[in-house]
Amino acid sequence: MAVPFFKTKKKQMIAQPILNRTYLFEVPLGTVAVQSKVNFLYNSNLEGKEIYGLQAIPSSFLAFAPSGAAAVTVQGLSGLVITLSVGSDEQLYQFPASDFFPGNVSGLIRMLNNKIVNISKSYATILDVTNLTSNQSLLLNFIFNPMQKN
Amino acid sequence: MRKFSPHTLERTTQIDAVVYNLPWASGQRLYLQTNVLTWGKRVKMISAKFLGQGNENIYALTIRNRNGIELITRYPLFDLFSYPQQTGNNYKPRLFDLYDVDTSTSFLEYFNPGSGTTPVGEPICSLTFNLEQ
Repeated sequence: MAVPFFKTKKKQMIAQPILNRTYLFEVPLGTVAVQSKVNFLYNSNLEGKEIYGLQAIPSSFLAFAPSGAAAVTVQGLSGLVITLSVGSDEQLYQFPASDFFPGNVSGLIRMLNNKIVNISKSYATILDVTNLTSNQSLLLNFIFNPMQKN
Repeated sequence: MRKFSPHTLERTTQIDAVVYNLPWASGQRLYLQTNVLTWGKRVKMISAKFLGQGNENIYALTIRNRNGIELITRYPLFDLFSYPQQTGNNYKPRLFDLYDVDTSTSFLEYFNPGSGTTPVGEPICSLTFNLEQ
């Protein structure tokens, strides 16, 4: 039977993650085109870390990315799919980006159960450019464990 | 097994940090005031309340501890709004576990390449830290 809640190492059952470390990660989309893949860039803050939560941040939450580029809108998120490369065997996990926006899921943060994500092998795929414009940035807020797993 | 609810905060202390606006420039940092109450304690919950100046969705919060380590990097402030400012059913309290926070090296940052008309010195928001004693 699936466990509906997140289980911590202290055997506490909670509905939402406790945030130890978070990092706002920017994915510049460049020129948007259907079926184009946008690779995530290497980030030393996130590489090899146990990711246990992920939020997609639309422009209604943060209008501009740290680079100054406009953030993707809520509607734009629905045209994006996120593919995460996970673990040493590099399993690929695909999610609709809009599912990571808390506003679409009653304010909840999606949890990933301590997955080690290979950031530089993960990417976003553009499926629909209707609500996207070139040079926008996809903002992802990674929630991770400070302990690095070897 | 101990029952645990995200809404149960035992013996909390609330501290408020009111942040004032500075001249409008993208990447501008607004440092929080020093508050020794967070030293050696754990911050369990953070909520933000805007003080009516608008443009709420351009701020990100960075929190450092007293060793200078960045615990929270550019967290969108909009996600920390307290009810009822957060519209609809989006609001859920965000739970943290941040030890030995140094508010004087923590800051709000705003990203806006355009120009603004917000008066300098106006209060932006009130941040509430719930501490475990």
